[in-house]
Amino acid sequence: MDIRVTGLTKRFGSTTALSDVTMNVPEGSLTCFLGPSGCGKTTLLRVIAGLEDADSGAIMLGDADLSHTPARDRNFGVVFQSYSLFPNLSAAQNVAYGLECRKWSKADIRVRVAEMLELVHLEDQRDKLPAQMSGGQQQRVAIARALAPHPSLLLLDEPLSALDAKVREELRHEIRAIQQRLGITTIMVTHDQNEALEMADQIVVLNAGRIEQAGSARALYDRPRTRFVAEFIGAINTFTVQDPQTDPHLGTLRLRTSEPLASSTVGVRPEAIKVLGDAEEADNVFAATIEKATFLGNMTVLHARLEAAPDQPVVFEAHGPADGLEAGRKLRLGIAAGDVKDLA
Amino acid sequence: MSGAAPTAAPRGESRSRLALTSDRGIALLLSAVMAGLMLVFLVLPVGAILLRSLDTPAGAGLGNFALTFADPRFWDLLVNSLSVSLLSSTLAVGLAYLYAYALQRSNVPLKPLLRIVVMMPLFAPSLVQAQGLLLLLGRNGAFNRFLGFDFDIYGFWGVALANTLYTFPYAFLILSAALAVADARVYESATMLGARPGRIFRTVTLPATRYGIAAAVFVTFSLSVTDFGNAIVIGGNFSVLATEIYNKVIGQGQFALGAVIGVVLLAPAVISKLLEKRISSRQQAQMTDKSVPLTTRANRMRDLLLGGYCLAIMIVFLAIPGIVATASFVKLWPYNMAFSFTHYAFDVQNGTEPLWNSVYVALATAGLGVTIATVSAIVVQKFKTPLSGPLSFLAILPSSIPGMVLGLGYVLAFNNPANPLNLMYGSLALIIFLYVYYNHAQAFLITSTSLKQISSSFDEASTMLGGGVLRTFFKVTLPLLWPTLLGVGVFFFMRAMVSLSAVIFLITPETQVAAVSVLQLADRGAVNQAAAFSMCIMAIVIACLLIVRMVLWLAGAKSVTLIR
Repeated sequence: MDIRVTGLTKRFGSTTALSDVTMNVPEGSLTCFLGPSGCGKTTLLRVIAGLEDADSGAIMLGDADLSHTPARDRNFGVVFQSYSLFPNLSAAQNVAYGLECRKWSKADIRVRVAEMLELVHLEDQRDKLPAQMSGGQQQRVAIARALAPHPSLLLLDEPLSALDAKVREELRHEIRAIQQRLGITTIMVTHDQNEALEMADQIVVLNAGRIEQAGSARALYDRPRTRFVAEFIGAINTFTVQDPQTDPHLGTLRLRTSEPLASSTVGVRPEAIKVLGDAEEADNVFAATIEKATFLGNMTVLHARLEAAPDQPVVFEAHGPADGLEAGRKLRLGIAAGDVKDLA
Repeated sequence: MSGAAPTAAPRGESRSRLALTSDRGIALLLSAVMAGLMLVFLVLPVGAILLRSLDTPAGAGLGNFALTFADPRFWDLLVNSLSVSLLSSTLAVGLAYLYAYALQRSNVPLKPLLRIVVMMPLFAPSLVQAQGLLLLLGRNGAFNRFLGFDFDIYGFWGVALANTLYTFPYAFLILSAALAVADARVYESATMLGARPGRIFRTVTLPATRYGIAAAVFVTFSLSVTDFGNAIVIGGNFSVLATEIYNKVIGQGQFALGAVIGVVLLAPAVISKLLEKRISSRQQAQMTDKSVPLTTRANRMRDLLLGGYCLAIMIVFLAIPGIVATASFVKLWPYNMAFSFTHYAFDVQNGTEPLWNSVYVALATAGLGVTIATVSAIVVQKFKTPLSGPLSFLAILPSSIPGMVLGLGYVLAFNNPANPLNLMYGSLALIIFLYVYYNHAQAFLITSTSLKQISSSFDEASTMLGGGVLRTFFKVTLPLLWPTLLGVGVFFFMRAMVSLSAVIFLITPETQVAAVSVLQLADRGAVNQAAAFSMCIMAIVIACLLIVRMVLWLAGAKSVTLIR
């Protein structure tokens, strides 16, 4: 069943943590709440979990309104950031906890616990206490514990942020694999855009308690609607355009776009800016001077100044050997009309 | 994205409401029970004291206060109380500071031994200090009898000295904690800037510990002002306010005048408590996660001097229980010094009954006290009910009420036919409740602190897995908390074994407890039997400490503090 959130608002004293949040999590999908710290993503997750009460709005699971169902009766599984395994219980006892709460029979619990520990590849760790396991193992147990009672929704609150890079990478793949195998509707909170891009079917970008944009990773990257989304997901050059609706100019040059512009801010991804050979042409051609070149091995990051708009610096990348691309060099840069993104 | 209007699901709704009321219900019920107990066993007795002090034959008024304040004897007693407490508090804090400094900042040997020896006064009723001092320096004391000295210890100096010994461990515990934390970087900076040790002490060590010093002064001062065991045993003709309440109430049955002095005694205790709160709230965290712990460097001269000092203090603190033990094992101090067990036969009064009463009361106090302190802490920390605020205030109120005053309040409140709980009067149960609420503040604070250290994510994880508050408590919280709770139990047990002033008014022949027996025996001049009784109390307290330490050690919980 889909999870639908409508008109959710949550205030802490005078600060508004969530303001009129409306969104949908399709059944069986993995949705990431992405945003900088303090954007409200964790609050949104906690309201959906029932650990916080919203001031207004509704949370629907299919046709059932869960807004007034206490957290313990929502049947949602949660994996917290870290250290939420009960330290006095073994891995198996932790996994069994939710089943005991649901009064499963001893035999059923035994079978389910074994099944779950196998799912996260920790069959041999069943009698270990959390303190005897690594951080990655603890989070695997936490995932097994959350999934054991067949929750209708799995909530992951920055589950990887306390782990070191290599383990994080591994667990990222594993969480996604388990999620897809079980087909469980999942929401994950993260501030790491790579995590979101790699794992999510749908990314919900939050900023200052509002949803900036929601969609697939590809849609957000290709068609960011706001400057915030464009800058948060990937890198982008932003330019201020004069007379966007009537006669768009970037500095002294006329700017060609595939669709008429609505706002005066446009964005161009670094990889969309091409160094043109003498005979090459493009929709938009800018004469530029390289100001700084930073060699990064597989590519060189170039900072340049456009002659048409010297006050609006531009950053782009050159892949492969970038001989001769050094400070002071003059060159022609080409940008296709379709790569100019209209940002609100 | 969907903007569909929410539709109600009646079945899910009713189920959820039910669960909501059950958890919420437990929270409210427990809050109400805790608040009710505090009202009956804390607010009511204190209220009774205040009311009774205003109760004159001519109706409610300040007549009793006028009468008391017009009596020049009252002012003499007030001066006596304040001067003797000021002296003993200054001595205790000064001596304890140097002792704690030696243990925390030098390399004197045998630190664990040095630490435990000065804790001895906590294992016995306060008046054992006076008892020991009399056996050493009194008319029939070892020095006068056997060494040819001619000391006169009775009176001001005796009380001051006994109270110094009695309050020393309290000061030591506070100062030791204050001196335990230090940031090496500050000391290194001072040294590199060219400061000599004396200047470093004045400009770095002393300022960093001034809150500890203030707290120690307040604690020792209020303990001295409100203690009456030492004053009554060694004071002779020197009286203080605390002994005056005893005389007024027990000797003359003048409850109203006793209540007036109770209110007067409440004042310094409350004032010093408020000042302590104010000062400690201004204290900034000295240690940050970047602090480098101070390590003690080698310095033979310093260690030798401080070691000598510690040895001297240790001898004094060993001499007191030592001489009491000696007196308990001789035929008739100081005339017949032949070894004898006869005083342990307890063929006086009620025999060993007071001792067993005390053990029973102390065990019951520990059990009930731990339960009440834990539930109060959970109600205040974890449940957000309308009662949480008032409860957290009431929970720490007892720390500013002297035991004697609370005890008198119990008499006034419960020895009143109008009180439906009147039938508790004269029972051990009432004594148990008195001990529980007399020591509630400290137990509550210890439990709260431990509870705060248990991450709230455990509660949330349990909730999300479908666990209710009770399951969370018994399956998660309690297994993590029990070593602390055992420590709190030991604290209650110790206090119940040794407290004298709190119960002195509640004692009947059937509810005699050991500490009061010591007082009565000492009062009657049965020196050897009083000594034997004191030894039994100390032995029981130490045995309890050893047993619990062993249990904790076997369970792998080694870092729990037992002596507070």
